[in-house]
Amino acid sequence: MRLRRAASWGLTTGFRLGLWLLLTADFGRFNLIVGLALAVALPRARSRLASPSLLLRSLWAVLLSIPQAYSEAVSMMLRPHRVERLTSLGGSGSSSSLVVFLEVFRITLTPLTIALGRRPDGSYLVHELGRRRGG
Amino acid sequence: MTIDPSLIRLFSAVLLISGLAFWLVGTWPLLGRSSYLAKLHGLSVSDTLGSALMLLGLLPLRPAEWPVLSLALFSLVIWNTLFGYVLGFCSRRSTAPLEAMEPPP
Repeated sequence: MRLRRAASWGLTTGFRLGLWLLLTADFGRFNLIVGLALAVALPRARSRLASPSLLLRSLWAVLLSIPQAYSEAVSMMLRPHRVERLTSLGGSGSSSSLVVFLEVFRITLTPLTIALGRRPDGSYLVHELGRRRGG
Repeated sequence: MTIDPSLIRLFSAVLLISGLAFWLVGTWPLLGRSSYLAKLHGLSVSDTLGSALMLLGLLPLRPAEWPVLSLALFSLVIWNTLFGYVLGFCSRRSTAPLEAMEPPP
């Protein structure tokens, strides 16, 4: 549990610090200290914590979905995808909001699938475009 | 090692033009008669992937502005994708019956 809390704390602080540095576009030592102080001082959401390995796996899956999104976009440009269907995609079933966010993001980023909602068992209702029925 | 500036310009022009092509391809179906969600799939091509290509194409032209450009890239990709999800989620009741949300008995 302590590891989970430390990982979530580090991830949130790093994310805020990164946003601060990009927004100010100033990587000097003073600005770094100000950004770090802000990142620590801002309130944190109290949500269910995910295990670091699950977080890393979800992040990795998001990175892998970027080239997949481009290949799907190119295949949509070359051939029409007119068949629509509702399917279901399995999720990790984690109750951590960050993991759910990453999974929804991964599904919706690829142009052939859009997540429409989450079922109680952790899977996702997905609207999918395809080339032919049942294929 | 220095890279020929004309090569950089060519590289960024290829990215910008392909981003524009993605924009056109994703926006064209909006005028058609396909379903709401099918149009949303096309918007994911143009808004998210096309805009990302354009911002990547601007990076080599203005390397000094990389913090702003990467922030724009990051927020555009997150915002467009999540907005697509929100629109899809809100359309669920009319396009996908609510029973589809329940697990089979």
